[in-house]
Amino acid sequence: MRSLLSKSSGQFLVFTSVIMLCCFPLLFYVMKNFYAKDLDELIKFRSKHFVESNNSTLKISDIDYWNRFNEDMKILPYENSYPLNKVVQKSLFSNAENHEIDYRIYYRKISVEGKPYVFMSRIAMIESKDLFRTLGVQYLLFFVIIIAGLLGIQFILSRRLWKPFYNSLNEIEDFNLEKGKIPEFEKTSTTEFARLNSNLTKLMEENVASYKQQKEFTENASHELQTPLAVFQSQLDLLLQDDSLNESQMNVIESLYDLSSRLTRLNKNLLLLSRIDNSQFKETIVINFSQLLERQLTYLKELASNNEITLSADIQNTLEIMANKVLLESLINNLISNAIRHNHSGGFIHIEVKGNTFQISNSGTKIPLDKEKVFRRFSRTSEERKGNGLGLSIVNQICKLHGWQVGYRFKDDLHCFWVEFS
Amino acid sequence: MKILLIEDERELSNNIVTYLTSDNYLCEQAFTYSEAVDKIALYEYDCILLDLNLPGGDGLKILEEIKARKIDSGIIIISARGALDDKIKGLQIGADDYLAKPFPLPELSVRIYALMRRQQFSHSNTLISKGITIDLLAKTVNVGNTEIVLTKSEYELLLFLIGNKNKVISKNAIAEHLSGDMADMLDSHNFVYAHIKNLKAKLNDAGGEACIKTVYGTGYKWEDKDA
Repeated sequence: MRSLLSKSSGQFLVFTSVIMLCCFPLLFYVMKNFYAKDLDELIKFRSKHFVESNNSTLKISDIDYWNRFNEDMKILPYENSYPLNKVVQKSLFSNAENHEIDYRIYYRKISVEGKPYVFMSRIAMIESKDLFRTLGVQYLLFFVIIIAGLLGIQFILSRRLWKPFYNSLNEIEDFNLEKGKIPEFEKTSTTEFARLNSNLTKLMEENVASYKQQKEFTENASHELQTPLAVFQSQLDLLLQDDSLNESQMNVIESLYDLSSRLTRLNKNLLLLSRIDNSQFKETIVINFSQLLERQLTYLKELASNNEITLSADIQNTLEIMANKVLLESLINNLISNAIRHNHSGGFIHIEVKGNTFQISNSGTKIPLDKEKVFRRFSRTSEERKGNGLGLSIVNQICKLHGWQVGYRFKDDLHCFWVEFS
Repeated sequence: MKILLIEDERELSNNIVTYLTSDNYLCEQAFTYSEAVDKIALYEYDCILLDLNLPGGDGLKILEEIKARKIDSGIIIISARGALDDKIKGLQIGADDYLAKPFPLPELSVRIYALMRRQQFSHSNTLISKGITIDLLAKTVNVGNTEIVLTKSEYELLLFLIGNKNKVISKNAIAEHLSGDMADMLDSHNFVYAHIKNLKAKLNDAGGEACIKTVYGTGYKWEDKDA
């Protein structure tokens, strides 16, 4: 993952480099061409100048003399083989360079004292290698300055252009659906960002509203269910008093009673969850966790032994925490009852308080639970329909509310839930 | 014993009345806020069962009214609100007990029973049924002159049965009474069966009458026709 800026700069660098590199051969050939043309003009001019100002006064006897002092302008005896009146390029030995180099050469037919001669005007070209090197160095320097400049400009422009975007990004990063506070975006003059911001605001407002509605709905629904449940249960209690009931009728009532209890508990847990969600448990006090746990344990031990499960506890230190008492009790009950429920007879539970961590390990199935799903509502990890699938999500919500860490791990065939109090 | 039941859900109200009436309680019903206020002003009750959600007013206001008039009836709040602050507020204002809806009727009955006994016998509080004497303050149980030692659960179970004498109580109601919210993780059938069996054995060993009747293995009843 790279930032927008570094990504765009990187791609910009790659593309401009490719283009600049492609341009270099072009530049090289164009430069070489212009250069040659320039030289051609010069040698043509020289030969023209010779014809116009020197030719008329030159004698045949002067030719040797002339040739001795002019390296690049010689008067040669006429031969048919000279390509006349056009510039040719030839590799010739250069005294200055001490090796062969390219020359631009122009031959022109002249006459000296009526006899035909050829006036050769030539000029040494800069070597391709040298031209390439010179151009290359200049081009590279130019290239570096241009790229650095462009990158700088792009950096500054992007920073300025994208600033509202980064502002919005920071704002929505802090957004928390549960807190329900919608961030205020800074005003921006860019149409697209203004659109983005207004759409984000709309989206979040709708989200918060529907989240609130959903939370309230759960609470209201659970509330409304309680009265019919109460009526249902009371009818069953009355029905039980009927002396004329036979055994099979009694069994039906019994199973209805079971169902009614299950519904009641399910409803109670839903209500508790939605109350936590609606943050109705605000008051926190300092609680001696170790003491509270020990008190709960006397009762929980009896429950465990009823299920033929050994419960041992190792409370290493006193632990004082800020918490809501009802919720803390519910947390302990849920975790331990969970450990009893998903155990087998002859199994064991070990509770440990160490530092500020509370940990419960229990025997049970040999298969680890799905770490992702285990704290979700109604996500039963096994086929067995024990419990109502809300216990651990209640634990999770309680921890979230208090800002505690909660987790699950499976080690040495033991299921282990831990809570780290902050 | 006179009870005023303030509850707007007629069906529930009628069921409660039916259940309680056979227990030598005289029940009167109020279905609205104003009806309740009127009745409190006119008559005296030993116990008031108060629902908090009433048409025409908040049940907590009635509670304040009762306390302002210095009426010393026992008060049990029965509420579907179940929110903790309601419970705390109710108990602070002066309610004696709080029962969240839905609840088994035997649970309500035993709460009323306990409340009435607390109010009427504040010094020595003994309970006698079929030759069994229970000292509610010392929490001891005697059959004739023999003291029998019961576990906490067995003691609670005995009180629950006697508090609902001559009524069939379902195993679930017993399990819930004994273990509260944890009832769902117990195999309630075996759990209750084991406790009943132990209690029966202990009473029997001490020479008590066989008062605990099992109804088709699904419910239990404390039989005491003399009461």
